[in-house]
Amino acid sequence: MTDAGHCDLAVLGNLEKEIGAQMVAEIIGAFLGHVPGKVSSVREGCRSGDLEAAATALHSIRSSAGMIGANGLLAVANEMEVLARSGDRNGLTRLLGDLEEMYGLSEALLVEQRARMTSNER
Amino acid sequence: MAYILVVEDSPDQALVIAGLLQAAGYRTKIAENGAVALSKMAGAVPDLVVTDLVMPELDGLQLVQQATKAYPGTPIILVTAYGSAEIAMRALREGAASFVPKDVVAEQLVETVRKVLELSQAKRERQRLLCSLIESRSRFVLENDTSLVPPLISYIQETVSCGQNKVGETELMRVGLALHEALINAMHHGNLEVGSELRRGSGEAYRKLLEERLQDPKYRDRRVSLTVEMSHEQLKLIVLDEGNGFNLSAVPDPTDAQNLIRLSGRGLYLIKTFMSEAFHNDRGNEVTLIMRFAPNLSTASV
Repeated sequence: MTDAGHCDLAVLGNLEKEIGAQMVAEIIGAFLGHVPGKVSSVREGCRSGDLEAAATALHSIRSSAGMIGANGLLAVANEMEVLARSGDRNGLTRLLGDLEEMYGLSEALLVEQRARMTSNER
Repeated sequence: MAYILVVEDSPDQALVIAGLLQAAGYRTKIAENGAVALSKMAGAVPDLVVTDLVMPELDGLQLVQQATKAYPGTPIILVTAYGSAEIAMRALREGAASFVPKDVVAEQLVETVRKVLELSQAKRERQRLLCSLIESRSRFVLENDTSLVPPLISYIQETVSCGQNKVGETELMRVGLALHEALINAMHHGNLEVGSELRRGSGEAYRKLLEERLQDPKYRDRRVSLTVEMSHEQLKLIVLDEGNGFNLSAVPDPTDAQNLIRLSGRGLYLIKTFMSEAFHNDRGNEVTLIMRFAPNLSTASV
């Protein structure tokens, strides 16, 4: 990882080479607009006991994180999806803080990357 | 420029997929689930579909099931997340052309799309070429290998359906079933001389004798010849085996419905029912099947 520990910036770098900075900035924007709602769905699933809804949201977070190299978020979401599918509500709730923290770290880094990309464009 | 429909409910993932495809020179549209994808396909049929599997409303598997029926010429590539292997296998069995794991989508998607499109375009070009076919005559000489029968029938159906004839799905299916009966009869009963009466009970005696005869050069080396003649008026199929033939008068009347439940003669009944005309030579080792086509105005006037 060329990294901030939780993110593999090489993934974003490769995407930037393939499809251009502007498109990657758009992807980051879509990620930041989409994933918080999924994190809320996981939180709500933990609260209500709807583990299937939580698992579906975690599946989506995992895929989104994987595509842009947010590996820390991917790892927590992956572990939580397994717990949700096995019906372990306590285990799932225990990791909720980790998921939110990892999303926060990813968000900060992605906002920074997006700013770099859009400033390069100008 | 090929048009690719991307079906993905996560907007960021949809943009990654569409971005990679656009950078490779493809035109893309995005649908957020299978239902939206089908509605977009009804408006403009894409050259290829790239779809996620887990989606709300209509998921990837349901999309594959419905789209492969409605748009058989449009290949579908699955983008699969870790843990979706089972559902991906089902989708591949239902007709999806290939798959790309999500974690290597940047590395593998474009290459996979290019490969699948090449194959599908070659198939489409062949279909277009076959549509110009007015008349043909071909002859196949087959070993007594029943595994050759389905691909041969499929080839003939493809040729007939693309020709300048008005042949419906039902007719195509009937030609296929009748030819299947005729070819299996020629191999098993004609060349290998294994009688259908042995099928009674478990059918073990029938299978055992088939296996023995397939090892015996006297029977094994016989061949089945299939001559296919197609014009805009009719399809004529002549199936000839190298066996001793059979006494047609000894076969129960295949047009008598009572004989439907009997094992022997059932094939002949299907052949006579499905084809416009079917007849044997005197020796009983050659059957001719004819399917006449409805007049086609565009060719009739030529």
